[in-house]
Amino acid sequence: MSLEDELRRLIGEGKVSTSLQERVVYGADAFTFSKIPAVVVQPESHEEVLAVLKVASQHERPVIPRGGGSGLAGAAVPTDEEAIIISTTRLNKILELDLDNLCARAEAGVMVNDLAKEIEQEGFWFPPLPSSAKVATVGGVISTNASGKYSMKYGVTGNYVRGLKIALPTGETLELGSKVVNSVSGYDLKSLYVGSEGTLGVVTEAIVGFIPKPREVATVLIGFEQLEDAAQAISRIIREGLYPAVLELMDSYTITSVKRYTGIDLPEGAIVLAEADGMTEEEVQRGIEAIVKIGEEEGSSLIRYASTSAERTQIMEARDAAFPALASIKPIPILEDIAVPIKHLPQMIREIQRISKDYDVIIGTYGHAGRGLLHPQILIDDRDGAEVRAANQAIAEMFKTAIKLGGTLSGEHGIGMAKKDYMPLEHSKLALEQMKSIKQLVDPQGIMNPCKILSC
Amino acid sequence: MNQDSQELHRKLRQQECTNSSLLAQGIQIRSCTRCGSCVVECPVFEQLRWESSSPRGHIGILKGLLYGYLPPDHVNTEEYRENLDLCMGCKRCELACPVGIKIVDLITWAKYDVGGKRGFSLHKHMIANYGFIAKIASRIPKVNRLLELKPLRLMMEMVTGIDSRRRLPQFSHQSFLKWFKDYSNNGRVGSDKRGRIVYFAGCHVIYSEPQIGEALVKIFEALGFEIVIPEQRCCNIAALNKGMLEQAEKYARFNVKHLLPWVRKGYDIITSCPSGIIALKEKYQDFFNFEGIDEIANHTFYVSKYLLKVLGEEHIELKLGHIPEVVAYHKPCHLKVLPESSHSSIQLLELIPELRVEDLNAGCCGLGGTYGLSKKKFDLSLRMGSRLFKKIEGSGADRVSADCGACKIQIEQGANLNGEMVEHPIVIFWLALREGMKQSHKGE
Repeated sequence: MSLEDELRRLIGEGKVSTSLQERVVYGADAFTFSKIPAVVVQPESHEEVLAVLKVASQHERPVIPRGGGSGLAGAAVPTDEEAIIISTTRLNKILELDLDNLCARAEAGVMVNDLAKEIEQEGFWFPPLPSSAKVATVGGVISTNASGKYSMKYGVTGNYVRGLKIALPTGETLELGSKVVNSVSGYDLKSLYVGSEGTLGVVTEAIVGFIPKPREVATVLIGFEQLEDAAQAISRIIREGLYPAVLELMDSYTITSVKRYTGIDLPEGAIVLAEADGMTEEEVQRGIEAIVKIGEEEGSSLIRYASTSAERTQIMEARDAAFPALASIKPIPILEDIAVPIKHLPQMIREIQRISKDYDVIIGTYGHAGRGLLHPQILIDDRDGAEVRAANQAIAEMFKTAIKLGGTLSGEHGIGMAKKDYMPLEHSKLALEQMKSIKQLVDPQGIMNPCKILSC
Repeated sequence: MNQDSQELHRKLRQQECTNSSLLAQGIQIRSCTRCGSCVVECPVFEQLRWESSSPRGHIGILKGLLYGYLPPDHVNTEEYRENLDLCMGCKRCELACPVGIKIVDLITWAKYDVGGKRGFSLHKHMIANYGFIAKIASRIPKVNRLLELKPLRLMMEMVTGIDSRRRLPQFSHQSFLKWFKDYSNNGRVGSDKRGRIVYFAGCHVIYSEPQIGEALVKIFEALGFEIVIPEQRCCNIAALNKGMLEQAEKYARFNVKHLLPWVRKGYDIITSCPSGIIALKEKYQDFFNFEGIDEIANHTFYVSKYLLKVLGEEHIELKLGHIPEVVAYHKPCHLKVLPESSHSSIQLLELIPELRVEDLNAGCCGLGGTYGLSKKKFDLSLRMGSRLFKKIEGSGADRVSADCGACKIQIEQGANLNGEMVEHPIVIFWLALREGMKQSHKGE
């Protein structure tokens, strides 16, 4: 019996596709189109996932878990045409909302936004929502340890994962954690799987915590004439112990694009977007005034407070429009997510500007600057070979610069296939060997999402 | 005209295109960032779950053809054609797309390409000529009773592909145009004290629910408008969505030819049909290129939005009667995707004293205009609307309101309501206005 027939027998005809048309569309995620997989399956339960993995193991076929397909590092696309894509789309049940323990148990294919809405209806909040939350899945955000605007103060997905149920490539089930909030009980295997981008197993279920929503927020937009002044202000805000909920940055190219795209009136130059939150209005006002004071001292040209929730929404809309606004300019946007220690943020920004000029590529820069995380978005036309080459060279140089400054290749999107060749820049030989050993231990056949994170 | 889509279509039709020549075109297809914003909006994907059934998947297939991942002759396969037919044309994906890709248009061009080679089925021809069929049907005595006869419906299903279980629109014995002719004075109603409008009524109003048109005319008459109904044909958006562009263009040319002179005399075009407004304001511009299209688009308004504007600008204080009821309102997809008009019917209803509007906000009804009429799509269509039906059944509202005639019949079928419980917002507004006018006369 062929692999495909076996899969049909095990999980049902309607959940297995070998159609070329279907396989082509599963060959792409938000990063790239890679290779066409051999078959796509949509198991509906943990047991069906295990069954697929067993068959894959018997046939020595690579397996790629896929959630919403919105990953930006190519973790969900095959590098091998023999691959089996396991789509988690039918693992889409919210199993439990536990308001006593402030946690939810959900299947991996639940879209994070849907889970977040259920949580919000009860007055709580899941802060590390990435901007792709509408389509990104619970399994997806866990596999990349995703984060968003509010991660500055509230942490990343991994900080909220309390438990995992994982189907291992060996056909075993690994259950980790529970509803307990903190545990220091043996090696923290949960942290190993969080951010492992589907290379160690298939997360089928998770227990995620949530927290009460802050009662008060205050939002401000601070304009600067020079990007460097904005970066300096951010550095100082952190240095002086002010830790807002949101601290974002946009450069002038991004601002111009956002203005054109949204029609929102924004100051030219550079923007720092800050939001303070807390229990009382007085507390948040004090927080925001302290930030504004630093802004003024660093030469801000404009201070715009959001005095209504509509104004706050508009400011956030402007920030959220950065990616699509830039993506509308040229057909292919390449979005990076380098991060550096905050102290070096101004220098990294200067370097990005220099790289943009040196390689003659358009780069709009924005991001979660309060965490030292920047999103340089390189805009190219993939029909222009020279432009593609220049972009790749610019990206390589940005990576090298970030590492030299003590930073990282990826602050939140993961390595996937996009950055794996640069891993030796960031990690020591020993560290890479340890990663390989762990991979070998958990996935002895090497069938779980091969050639991702680490080189084949 | 959408140059990129047309060019891609042309290349796809040629079939001898090389990868590099396709690569030279299709900016929209190449601009897809695969962010997935469209995926979560698609009622079809929500049910079928396969990526190919999502808007992102449709673009992925076109990209596959563009880049050569799929062979050029893939466009000849039944699988390709059936996949294109999965799109119901609701445009929710286009509203969500952050880079502004006209996904439904791209699929339409691809359907045109397929239809051009293989022809269109009888079912599609019937749907595309609904206006003509409705005109004939409404003249058949007891047609509505006949269409309930199971043997007849089974025969129809075999011949036309329309599912025998599908509730069909009720045809009115007197068409709206006949009513208007009798009501008007040489084809005009009202005086032009405040303004002048032409009404693009649409097939559903003309042949099935003339009371919507009657209500609209009387509202504008009461407000001091002159109303004219020029010669018009079906907007033919159903044909357009099926890729029957040549036929749709004939209808578009007819409508533009007869509306344009009025627009140039200073009349605004009003429609009470969400699909009608999409046709006049967007689709004709997207697909065709002849004189008058832009003027028509710029002077077409949705009735609720227009009324709110008039009431606001003219500071008109309307005396509206009280309607102490709860109305569960369903927003049709084609209205949702027009941001400037999308909330207007709710706002109009909220002007009525004591009336409480419950915005159902439960997604697509699933009929997609004519999409869910066919045997192939009937069950899927009801599944797509199931969340809405459940919400209606649980709402306890006194009546349901929806702007779209297709949504009406789908809701009636899915939520087991009878026809009088699902009304166009304009009809409800007229009830309140008429009551208010009566009270004003009594007071005098």
